[in-house]
Amino acid sequence: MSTEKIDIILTTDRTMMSNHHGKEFLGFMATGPPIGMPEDLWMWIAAPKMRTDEHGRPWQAPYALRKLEALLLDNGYNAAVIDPDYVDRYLPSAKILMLSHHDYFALCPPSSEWWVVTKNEPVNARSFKRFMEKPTIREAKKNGLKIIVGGPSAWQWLYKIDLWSRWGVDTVVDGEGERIALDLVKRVFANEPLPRYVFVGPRDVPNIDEIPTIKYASINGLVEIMRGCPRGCKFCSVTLRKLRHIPLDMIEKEIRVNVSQGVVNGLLHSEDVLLYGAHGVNLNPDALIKLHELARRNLEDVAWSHASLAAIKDAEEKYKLISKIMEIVKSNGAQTYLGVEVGIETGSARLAKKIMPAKSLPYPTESWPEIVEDAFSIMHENNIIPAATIILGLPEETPEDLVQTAELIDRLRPYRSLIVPMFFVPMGVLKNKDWFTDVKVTNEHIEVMRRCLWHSIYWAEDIINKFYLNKPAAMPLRLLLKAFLKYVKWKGKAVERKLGLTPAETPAIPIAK
Amino acid sequence: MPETMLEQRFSNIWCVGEINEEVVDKIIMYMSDFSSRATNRVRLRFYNDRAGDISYIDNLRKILLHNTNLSIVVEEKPIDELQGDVASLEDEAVLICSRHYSVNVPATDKLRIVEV
Repeated sequence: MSTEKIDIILTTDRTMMSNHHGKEFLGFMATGPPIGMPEDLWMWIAAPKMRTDEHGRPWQAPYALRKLEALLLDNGYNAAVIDPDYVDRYLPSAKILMLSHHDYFALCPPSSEWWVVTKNEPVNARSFKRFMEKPTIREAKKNGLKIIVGGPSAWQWLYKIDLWSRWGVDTVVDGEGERIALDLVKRVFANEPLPRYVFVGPRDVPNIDEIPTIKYASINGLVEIMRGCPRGCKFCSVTLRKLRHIPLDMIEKEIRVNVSQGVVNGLLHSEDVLLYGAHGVNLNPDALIKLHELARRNLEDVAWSHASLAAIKDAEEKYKLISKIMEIVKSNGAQTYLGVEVGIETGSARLAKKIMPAKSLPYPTESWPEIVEDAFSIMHENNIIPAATIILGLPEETPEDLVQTAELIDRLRPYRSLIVPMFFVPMGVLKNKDWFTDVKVTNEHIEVMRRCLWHSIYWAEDIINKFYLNKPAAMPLRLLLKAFLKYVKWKGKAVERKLGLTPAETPAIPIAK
Repeated sequence: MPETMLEQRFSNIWCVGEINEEVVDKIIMYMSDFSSRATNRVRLRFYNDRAGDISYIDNLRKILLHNTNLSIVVEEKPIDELQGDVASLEDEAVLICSRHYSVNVPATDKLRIVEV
């Protein structure tokens, strides 16, 4: 790569170009507005600056950008991921600025929820706007720079046509980029016009052999183990894509790229890690054991991105697989827990049947609330700490569904976890539905939200002290987060008093472990 | 090296004139027709004489968000290129014209003109 000139700059704003102190979950703070502290301090906690080399190349970068970078380098282009603070250096001579983001305008959950609740714009959207308003980008546009944006939140540009136009974005790409990216780049280099918008349908997603291997480290060692998901939940966009399992040798190659560049922890990414190597939703214990042995061999600390609660229950009840995997994970004598994101979404079996009929498989949807409880119990016993989501405002949701969700949250109190309520955002096959934020927040929604709040506050301190930030080096962060928790607790009680609600902060007896 | 996407075969829907609800409904109608075809790809092309004006996307949002199965490419072209494009048409296309907009295109059996 030339140090003076880069034809294709791949980047994003600070909230995405950060390793969040090596704690992926802290990155979620970037989905909220600064609460109880100045924005700079909030940003330091949520998204500290990434270390770079003298060329402005970040030590770690979002996985999607690393994949695109690898694709372009493999095809002979002069492309590089550049930290947002260094793009000015390269913009005057660059041909293309490629951007990716999880939530460009804070319209995804949970950003949209914090925005509605606090009436303040979350820092991810503020940070992205600051980036796009750079005079150097405006100047480069005048000189012919092409801007191509993509990533999982590409659909948000359809609601922001004024900014699409104002910032001179040439093309929005919604979907997996491997096949379309080279097309677009070729067109720019041939001075041919670009399409305005591209949706990559299931027919045009890449096969395994078309997916490149990353060449430089990804944020917090994230490596993809699968693409797509067979569960078909109606609110999810991933399920629209063809299911592909990444071979173990490719996973190991990427883990080794990360480790060789000093990223010794890893995050196995899939919509349902336990379905790795599975046939439909029938688990493949052998593939899962091999995957975790591989991760244990190469990494100091292993985490999962997502797992389904039904698969957790199925894995343990049929094969004692959760216990076996955790034995492997803990076998280095250093790792004591494993973090994961899980989806409860609703406590109502009726609603579950309507919007996510396959999420409970191999169990019947009618027993969804029991599946959730059993899976939480299994995770608690095995030191797996879930950050769980609840979706509010799903189409066809009734007050009775919300009452059942609130009751389920009460029953989950003994299990170490965080539960985050999220407003429904139209994605997947529901993406043409009305937006929840147009709908009134009901008393039942408030009941669910405050139960989530007190559940999470109840467990957050335990998780911070004993697991997440228990190392001496994490003390400043630990103190700041504990102070923040105190503030949230105080604020939560004040809001309850104002609304005339009986305090929901009732103690529960945790199940002994 | 991955296959390219834009060089694949697409079903074509071209639009001329104002993109109002009637036009959007027609686009939806032809798209659902195309979704049963083998290509599973649709190119929506908008001919206009205001370069860089993307306000039509506002009306198109409903279509783009509704779709989950088709690959869609949206592009704009200057209106004065329409005649040449029709003359060099290789695949079939539907041309949806706003009735307030007069277009004069050469007759071809590959182009179906729909006035709304």
